[in-house]
Formats: sequence, C-alpha cells, structure tokens
Amino acid sequence: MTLAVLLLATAAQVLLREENVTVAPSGEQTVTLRRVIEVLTVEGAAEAKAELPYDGSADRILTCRATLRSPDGETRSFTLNDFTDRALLRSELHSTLRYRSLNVAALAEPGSVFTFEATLQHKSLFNQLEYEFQGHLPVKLSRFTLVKPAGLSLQAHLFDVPASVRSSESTWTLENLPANPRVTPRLAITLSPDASSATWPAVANWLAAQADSADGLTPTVQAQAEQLTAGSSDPIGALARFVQQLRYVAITRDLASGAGFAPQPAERVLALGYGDCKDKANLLRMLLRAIGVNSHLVAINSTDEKRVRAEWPSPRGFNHAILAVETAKGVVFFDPSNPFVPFGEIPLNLENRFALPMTAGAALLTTPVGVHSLTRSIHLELTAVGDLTGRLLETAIGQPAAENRALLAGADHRARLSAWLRTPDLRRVETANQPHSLFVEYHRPDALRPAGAELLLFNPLLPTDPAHLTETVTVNLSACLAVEELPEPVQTANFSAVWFVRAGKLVVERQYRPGSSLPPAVESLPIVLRRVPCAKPQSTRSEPVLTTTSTVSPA
Amino acid sequence: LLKEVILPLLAFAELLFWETRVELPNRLVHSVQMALPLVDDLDRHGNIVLPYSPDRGESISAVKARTILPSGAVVEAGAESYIDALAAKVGDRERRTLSIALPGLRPGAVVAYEWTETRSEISRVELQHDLPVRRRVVQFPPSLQPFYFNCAEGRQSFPPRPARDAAYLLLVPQPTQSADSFWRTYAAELAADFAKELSPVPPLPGATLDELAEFCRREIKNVLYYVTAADRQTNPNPTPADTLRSRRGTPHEINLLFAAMARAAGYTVLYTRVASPQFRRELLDPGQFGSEVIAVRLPEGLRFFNPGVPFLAPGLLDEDEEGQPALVAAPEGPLFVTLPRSDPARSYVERRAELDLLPDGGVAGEITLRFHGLQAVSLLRRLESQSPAERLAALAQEYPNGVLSALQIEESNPATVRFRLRLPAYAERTQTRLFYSPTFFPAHPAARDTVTMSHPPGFVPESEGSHHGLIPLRRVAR
Repeated sequence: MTLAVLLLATAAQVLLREENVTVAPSGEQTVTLRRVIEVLTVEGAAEAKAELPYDGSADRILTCRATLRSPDGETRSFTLNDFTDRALLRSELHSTLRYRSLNVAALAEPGSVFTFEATLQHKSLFNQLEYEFQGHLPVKLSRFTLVKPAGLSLQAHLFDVPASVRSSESTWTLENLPANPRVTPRLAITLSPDASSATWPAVANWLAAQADSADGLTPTVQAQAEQLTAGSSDPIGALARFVQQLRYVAITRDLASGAGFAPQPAERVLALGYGDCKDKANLLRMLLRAIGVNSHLVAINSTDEKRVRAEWPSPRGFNHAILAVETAKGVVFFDPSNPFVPFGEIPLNLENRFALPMTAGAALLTTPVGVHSLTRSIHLELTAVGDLTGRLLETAIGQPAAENRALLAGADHRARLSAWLRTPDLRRVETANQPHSLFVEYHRPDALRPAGAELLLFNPLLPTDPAHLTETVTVNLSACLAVEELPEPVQTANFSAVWFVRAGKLVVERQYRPGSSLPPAVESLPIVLRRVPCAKPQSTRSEPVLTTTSTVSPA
Repeated sequence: LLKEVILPLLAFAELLFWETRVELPNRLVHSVQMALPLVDDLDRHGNIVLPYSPDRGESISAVKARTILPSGAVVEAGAESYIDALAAKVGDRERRTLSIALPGLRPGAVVAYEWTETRSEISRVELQHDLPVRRRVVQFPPSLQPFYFNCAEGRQSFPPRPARDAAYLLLVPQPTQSADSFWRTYAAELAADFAKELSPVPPLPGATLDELAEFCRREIKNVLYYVTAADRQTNPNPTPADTLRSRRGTPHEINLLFAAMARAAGYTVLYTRVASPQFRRELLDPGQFGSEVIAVRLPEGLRFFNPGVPFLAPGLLDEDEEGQPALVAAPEGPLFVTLPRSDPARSYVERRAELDLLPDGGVAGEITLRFHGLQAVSLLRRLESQSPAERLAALAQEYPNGVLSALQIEESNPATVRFRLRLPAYAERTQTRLFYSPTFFPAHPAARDTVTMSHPPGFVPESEGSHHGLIPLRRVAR
C-alpha cells in the first residue's frame, strides 16, 4: 500500500449525527445534538472532538457531556466543566457568539469511540431551522427530528442530498454518506401559520425595517459629503473611496434581536471612523443621499455561493451587506468593505450570486458578472553568464487588479514581489490606476543553471495565479547563447503555451481562460540553451524595449 | 502610465515609546504611543487587545486611548470603543480580553494608550512588542534589582519580538546576602541531599566508568521512555539498591544508581545541576537550574555522565547540556563549570541513496540514513513520540509527492532508517533530454552522502569530461 493511499484512507467516521429540535409556541427551540465518532487510524484521533456554537447573550446550555470509550472498553466521561468556552471570532473584534469545545485527541487511539451530547435552549430570530447532514467525515446515519407546535405549517427543503433520503412528516434521515462532499447536504425548514407568508418580498420587508433603523441624513453627514465632493468630477467615486478607506471593525451584539442585520447610524460610524459591512454600506448610502444619489443596502453571502437558495426565502443565508447605487448608467453594485475593488467593479466573490435589496417588497436578484483579466508582457535581457534584466508590465482588470492593489498596499510588498520574481534586486516598481498597471524592473544574477560543459537551463516564466491571462515573454539572448531545445507547445481546452524564436528573439506566449481545469505549471519547463563561440563576450547590454500586447476579451 | 512611483518604505508602524512604571507590590502602569503610517497598519494594529486572567489575580484598569490625527486633531476613544469580554474559559480558569477599537484612525495617525496591569507576580517585564519599539523605558523602585535577558543592559530600542528568546527584564528584590554565600549554602544543601540518597550498592568488579554508565542506561528500564501508562505508575525506588533490584527507574534514580556504583568502584562522585546559557550568578535563584548530571572526580579533572537519558552514546551528554553552565556540589564549596562539548565529528548522518533514474524523470530505489552521536539522539527523541504511521508521514514530508514503503528503523545509537522511495519528476525532462542533480539529498552540515544513480536505458550522458551543475542525458535511438 502506498503512503498516498494510507493518508487518504478514512481516518474516522461518524456513526451517528443527530439533531432533535422541539419548537415551543413562543418560538423558543430546545435543541439536542448527538455525535458518535469512531476513530479508525492514528491520524483519526484528531477527530475525537466536539464543538457546540451558541449565542452567549440569548442561548442557554442545559447539558453538555461526552465520553471516550477505548478499544478495551474503558470509558472516560467529560462534563461541561471539561469543555473550553471560547468567543467565536472570525473577522469580528467582539461577538456574543461563542462555542464550547472539547478535544480528546491525545487520549483517543484507533478503535476508540467518542460520543458527544448537548442540549441547549435557543431563541431563534426566525421560525426557521437548518440542518447540515454531515461535515467532512463520512457518516453512517444522520437524522434530524422536529417537534413543532400546533397551528404552524411546515415547509421543508432538501438541498444537495442523495436520492436515498428517508423522510416522514417530522424526521429526515440519510445513511452512508461518503467523506468530503463537494456541497454539504442540507435541510431547511420554515414554520409559519400560513404557508404562503414565507416569500422573498416578506424577507426584504423585514430587512428593510432593520436598514431603516439607521436611515437618516444628519447635518454632519451632509457636511461631510459636501466636503468630500467639493470640486470633484467624480463625486460618487470620491464618496466610495472615503468609505472604503474607513477601517473594518465588526462588533456583534444582540443577534437574537436582529442587530446582526441593523446598521449603526451613519453619523455614529463617521464619528468612530470604523464599522462593519452594513455600517459602511449605510454610511455610503447616506453620503450618496446627501448629493442626491439613491442607493440601497443589499444582503448577500460573500463566502458560500450555494448558501442562499431561491426556493427557501430566508435572511439566514446572508452574511454580508453591500450597496446598489442608482447611477445614470444603471444600477452599480459596490462593496464598501473591500478596499481594493473600486466603484464600478464587483468583487469576484460577490458576482453572479443571489442577493436581496434591503428595501420593502424587493425580490431576490442575481448580481452581475464582472470582467477580470490580466495582460502581462515581460522583456528580458539574458547574458551568457546568467545575468538577467527584466521589465515586467501588467495591466489588470477586475480581480487581478484587486489582488495587485492588495499586494501593493502591504508594507511587505517589495518582499512579496522579490519572492515572486526570485530576486531581491528590484530596480523600479511603479503603478498606475484605471486600468491598474504594475511595472517592475528587476535583475537576477543567477538565471541560468549549468548542465554539463555546454548546456544551460533557463526558465523565463513566472508562477501565476489562475486568472484570465494573456502573457508574452520576449528574451533578448546574448550572442554567446543559442537555443538548443524548446518545450513542446502545451494546449488544453482553456490554456495554451507556446515557445518559439522570432527575429532572433526567444518568445513565450501563454494564455489561460478560467474553466474546468487549472493552468498547467509550465513555468517549470526548461528551455535548453547552448554556449556558442562569440566575438564579444556579453559585457555590453542593449536597452530592453517594452513589448506591447493586445488586451484580453472578457470571459 | 507610470504616475505613482512606489518608493522603498521610509515609514513603518512602530511604538514611538513604551513606558512601564512598576508600582509595588503588584502593579505595572503602561503608557504607549504607536505610529501607524500606512493603510495596511490600520488593519493590523488598529485594535488594541489586552489579555488578562482574573483567576490568576490579574486585572486591567485605568485604560485610556486616543487617536492623534496627522492634522493634530485628537479623537478620544469613547466608552463604546472599550470591550471587556470573556475570551476563553475552562472549568474555573478564565481568560478575558479588554479590547479597544481605536476611533477615527487614518494613515499617519499616532495612537496613544495607557493601562494599569495588576498581577500577582510582577518580576518579569516584557521589553519587546509585535512592532519595533523606538524607546522602551521601565521605571522601578530602588528596592528591586534588574536583570536583562536576551538583550544588553539598559537597551532602549528593539526590533519586533522574535518567536523565541524575546528580551525581558527580571526584577527581583535586592539581595540580603552575597552571591558566594548564597550559592555555598545551596551547594551544601544539594551535596547533603545527594549524600542521603546515595546508599551503597554492590560493586561491579572491573567495570570502567563508561561501562557503568552504559549498564545503568541499558539495563535499567527508564520509566519516562518507551513505556506504557502502567509502566509509569511504578513505585519510586527509595534507594539505588532498589533501582538495581527492580531494574526500572526514573532518570534521577538511574543517575543515582550510576553514582552509587561509581562510588562503590572507588570514585568520588558529585551531584551537578545544569543551567541554561543565560545563567546569572548574581541572580540568587536556584530556579535557573534545570537538569542534572553526575560528576566524577578523576586525576585529570571532572568527567560528567548522564545515564538517565536513554539515547546517548557512551561519553556523550545530552544536546541541551553540552557547553552549558553547571554547578558542581563539591564538599569544598560550589564549583561553577562549563560542561564539555563532544567532538562534532562524533555526531553525523550517513546518507546513502541507491537509485534508478527512470525514463520519465522519476527515481526509484533505496535510501539508508544512519544517525550517529547526538544526531541519533535527536532522531530517537522524535521517534519515541511517533506512531508507525506518524513516522512514515514525517519522513514523507521530506520527499513531497514521493511514495515511501518498506520502512525499517533500528532504534539504537547509531540509529538506522531504511526505506524504499519512488519520487516522480526528480529529473527535468525535455523532448530529447533528462537533466538531473547528482546531489540527491538537501544540504546538511553534518551529513556524509553517497549517491548512486543508474541511468535509464535509451539515455546516454550528453558529453564526456567534467560536469558541473545538472547532469544532462540525451535520448538515443534504440
């Protein structure tokens, strides 16, 4: 058995994953969770752990316990006091969300069985429930049971589940789920007195009420808007840039009362100089209103494109707020929390997704697809001793431009550029906006690798992130070097790379369009050069000439 | 096009000053000014987080923060900017944080903040921060004596805190006795305790000191190593004779047995404690000492033994004991010595690769690694805590994409690791050639390598004569 097979073998499996929920007439939910995990290998010991997320300001943990049964039958028990209670912080500075966790990996050995059970009382903001049938481990039996109060009807939706799901009126069961599903199988339920009341416009109405809590243009905000746009030929852009540059700080409280969806008043955000996504979006909304431009807060999911489903109207799938701005050219979606994507462009992680304007009666919509491209030309001068002078020019649109802006904003940008170009000797680094361009002149003394007495290996291409790429590399070779052997052209459905000699220069052209496959790592393919007699050694160096390349078409 | 030239950074985030006033009995009053010149700095350092543990008697009070904008305007942090929250809790132990979201931050702002830290114990004062510190000042009462660690005494400017060995200041009460007197008393106590523990054992006639040490190391099962939980629950051995009888013992019991056997053979043995390189004789704290070794007085001087460590080859001390300061509890008074270093030539790795280069550029064959001296000790220590699967996985990390099989390990000193390896894309391949590096193993200062590489059929060396760099092979018609 190979090592690769050993590591891929199932390290642990979930024998039982179960959640029972009883909803009281008041809407309060009593949730009982059970997990039974069997450790199969040494590596699987890391799975002998439990995590129980809860809202520290609203939920109450009634019981929380675990056991670990060793292969010889000895059982160790763990109570609530053995669990660590931690703040659940992602990007927040503070949150009332917490989790209880227990990790007994150090005690678990192959054949051990870890059991975890907890009951908590949960105040839900909505009469809606969700259940994920599995995590990354394979599951033998996964079951969700609901006890609902009389008078409420139930609408259940199953997403990405295998056909073998067994369900009754109140229980949903899946068996033998394989590890690492591409999309997590999920159950989503709405309880309501009237089955027709769960609609997207109804959700939008509720969100609009949250947004309206911070609706109000004050003289301070008005004055700030006027100051920022005075004399500007692009007042919307000026306001957008101002809000983008405010610090992102999220402080999450009172989730059970809906505060997670309610922005702070614009004047307060202005005074603090920081805010989270909805705070920043709302501040921009008010600043735009001050100059007569209409805009709307829009709820969206920034991390999981499958989280919001048209079939299940619910605010629960949203985790981010952006702004839809009404301009003369139409509605423009803008994310004030992303400091690197300018007004007029939409970040890659927000495009082509369901989104819901936080405006009364709004319908679910899909955000537009952005344009993302990277055009790169590199001109290289290579001497016979491996001395390389390079001039790189990138023109980027969309996501590649955002990534370059993020790179250049960092205090460590020179170090990161040096690592990419494999040299500390960066002689010029320049940039321009609209479109975003990056120019770097660099020098490497060791670009050739000797192979025997006469041959040399040369790799002119740089590693590149998968993005729409059009690249041309032109190499002016020393007269003391001749091309001995070039890589064969590489061609796939969405990628091509070709090496050739034209007018005495070595040329490499590479193109990639994002598709089903990642670009092959052709930068590792070497060009073979041969030392040849030459009249004059490579002491003189001609001035490199920038190669121009055509721009790329959108996806 | 090139409108904005990015120059090398002249400004970087730093603490302009960080002052700490020590107030006895248990308070540290801090005051900081931090410059944040770049947008990037605001995200990284714009929130101040002060951790504390109430169950350890720690608290934070008198917190005050303000932002000073480049224009000179000052924005005070209001009550809403301070957040005191429970960060983590296990049982009765809890860790809290007091966080400050600094208001109105803009690139180029200076942040000023101060807080009072109350601790049950304030002897250690950190001198470094995540950011460089331009001026670090610690004020303390004259009743305290300062010891600077990992930096020169009185140093005021510091680079960012390193992952280990950060600079700190230790403040201890001024001594009431001289260092000589303190260590004389301490050494006398050590010697007295040692004498009490060192009851007689029967001699092992004709054995040399090295043989006695190896007897104790190999014949007495060391209950801290290679044992099950049941082994660890062994009863203590009251005397060296009990250790000899039970054939098991803790490292200390094994060292005592060696000392008793050496004494039975007529040698003078002395108890010795080993410190870290940072040992200060003026700091009257026996806590500076960690492990123990046994000194044997010989006509040519002292020799040191530690049979309580199971992996050592004869004549070696442990890696973290060699060259370290130590205190020998001699009857005539304490002897401060530096433990000897072993000859580096004794500690090396023999690496042998017998490989076939494959036509696709991969290699396959057998690797043998033989670890000698302290190299073997490091390896055996690692192996001791690894399961067979973990050992294989750890080795596999050294050969990314490689497939390892037939792993055999001889756990002795020298130690041998042998396995078969199949590694794809070792050689670089072109349409007509293969290029491979004859240096198969990564550089290692203490390695002695032998690499045998057989060429694949259908390929011949590109040219005769001397080669440097990669070796080219050319495909020939078959």
